[in-house]
This record gives sequence, C-alpha cells and structure tokens, in this order.
Amino acid sequence: MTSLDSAFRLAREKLQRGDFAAADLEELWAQVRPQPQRLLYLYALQPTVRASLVAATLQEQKAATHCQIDPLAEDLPYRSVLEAMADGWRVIHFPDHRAPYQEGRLDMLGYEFVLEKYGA
Amino acid sequence: MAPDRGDLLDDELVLRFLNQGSLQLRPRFPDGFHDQIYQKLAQLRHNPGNHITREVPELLAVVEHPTVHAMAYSLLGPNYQVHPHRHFYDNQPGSQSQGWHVDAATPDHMLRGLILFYYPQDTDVSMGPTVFVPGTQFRDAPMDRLAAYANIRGQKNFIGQAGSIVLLHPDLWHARSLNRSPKHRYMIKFMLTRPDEPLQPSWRHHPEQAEALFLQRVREFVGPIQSFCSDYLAEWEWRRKLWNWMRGAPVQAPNLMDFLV
Repeated sequence: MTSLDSAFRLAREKLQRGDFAAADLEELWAQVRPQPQRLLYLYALQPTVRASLVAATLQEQKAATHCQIDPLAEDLPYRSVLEAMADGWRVIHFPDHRAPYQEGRLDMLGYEFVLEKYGA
Repeated sequence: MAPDRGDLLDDELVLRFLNQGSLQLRPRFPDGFHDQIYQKLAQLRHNPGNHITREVPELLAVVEHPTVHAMAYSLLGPNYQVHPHRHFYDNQPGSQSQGWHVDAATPDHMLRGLILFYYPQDTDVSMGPTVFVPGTQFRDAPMDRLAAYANIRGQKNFIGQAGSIVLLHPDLWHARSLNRSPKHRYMIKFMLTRPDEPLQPSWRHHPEQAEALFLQRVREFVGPIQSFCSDYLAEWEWRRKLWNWMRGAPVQAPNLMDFLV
C-alpha cells in the first residue's frame, strides 16, 4: 500500500467518525499537490542502464543557472542509471541504440539517459 | 630566434601533450612580477579585450618568456605567431560556472594553434579554477551539446602557484568553474597560431626510440578503462595521425594490430 493509499484510508476513517478537520484536508493536499519536476541527465559508457557513468547533470527549478561544474566534485552521484533508478529516479528518455556513427570520428562522451523525480 | 636545443620539449613531453591536450608550466620571473600584474588587473575600470597588453604591458613578457617560446616552438614549429586576440577573465567570488566549451573546432584536430592561459595569482580548487577533460581534443563536440554536461568523470583542475601557465590544444574541452572563495581569480588568454604544415619535428626528437615510446604512452592513456569500446581504435588513430603530422611523417592507414600488446 502506498503512502497515498494510507493517507486516504485515514481520511475516510476520520470522515466516517466525523472528526475530519481542515488540518487533515491540508495534510492530504500536501501529499497530492503537483511537485516540481527535477531532471537528471546521465551519460553512460554503453546504452544500457547497467553501464558505468561518465557524466551527470542535475536540472531543477531552484538551481541558480544552468548546470554547474564543480571543481570540488569528487565523483558522480551514481555509478549507473540502475543505481539512480533504485534511488527513485524514473527514466523518461533512453539513448538510441542505432546512434549516428561516422567511421573513425570521435564525438560526444556517453549515451544520454534522462531521468525524472518529483519533489524536492 | 630558435630556442636553445636544451630548452625544447622532448618526445616524452610532446607525447604528454598529444595524449592529454595540455601542458602546465611555471617559468621563472622576478620576485613580485605576478603580483604587480595582479594589482594592475584589479585596478582596471573595464575589460579592454584585445587591448589588455596596452593596459598591462608586462603581460607581453609572459608570452615572450624563453620557456614559453621554447614550448610553443616545439609544438607549433619555428614560424608560429602570437595572434592579436587576447582576453582578460575575472572569475569573481561567488560566480557560477561556464558551460563546457572548446576555443576552436579544428575540423581535422591537427595542432594549428595553442591556447595559452596565464594565472597571475595562486589558484586553488576553491577559486573556480579552469577545469578540463584530458584527451577530449579529438572529439567533434558542438558547443550546444557540450553545454548539457555538468561534472564529467576524470575532469581535472588547473591549479598552481602565481605565474602558472597552461598550453592547451584549442579543441580541448574546458570551462571556468564556480568560485566559492572570497577572492577574484584572474586569467589572461593568449592565442598562438601555426601558419604552415610541419615538415619535420621541431622538438628534441629521437626517432629510434620515439615509435616505441609513442605506442607505450598512448596505450597507457587510452587503456580499456579510460575510454569507450567503440572509441578505442579511433582514440589511438587520432593520436597517431597528429604524431605523424607533427613530425612531417606520411599518413599511416589505421591498423589495430600496432596497438595490441
């Protein structure tokens, strides 16, 4: 049962008992109101969710500007897309398996996955 | 004037540049030289762009320093030129980072120029150093797409004492990073260009040992852990292409067998 299920079950019980108050309504609203979308771009060595990552970019409303390059960054937040999924991120874009390929040329680093999460 | 032969780069250093796309140095200057430049930069009322050497003429001594000359001569040949474009960058306290970018996008990635960064103050990681990704100088990387990256695994910081200089391949991925310190981090950029095609090596080259050294150093840099499966051969071949080009040697057909141990 999700936390939303429990919240509504509790609300129904209170309603039946006649002690559902304005504060309960606010609590319910806090759980269902739209949350800001956060995007996490992950760049993997191969186009599979198990591949090691080579770069990461977090995009969210509260960020001051575009993605930040941090000279103190010791490592990326996850080792793979799969690890980010286990932390609640949902994949919303997968890299094309048949990517443009030009013999002998090198281009961008990594296959791009885009993941989303709602809330802070 | 040609530098003393002993001041020229050797194969080892040229190969380091070829692999990483940059070399860092700190030539000797009189005591107080860098601080004098820093103070003059701090007093500027506006950014003079290409005219920065008019406002701070001491900067010419940086790009004309015998060590810099020897390195530029080694990498760009005897006819290299100091381009009139130059720029003063002030990474202010609390600044945000730039996006990743390249200063040129040379279609064939051969070394037809160098970017020179000069830092007149001690620069540590808190001061928003220039960051770079070693070995990216052979990638076709439209800057719009580069802007999608934040931190990249393996990125490095150019940090060092006042007077540190970095020579970069113009196609190397780099950026200003965010400055967490209360200090201004200054940097002056110069550009050096090569007007001709190389006919022979312009550094201390030892052809009898150089080929083995080339293969060894490229293998170390572009090993299986550092790159992508699809890119191994291309990473090697781009370095061989530039190595041959800089030596005025004939182009070789790609051959994976040369790189297998």
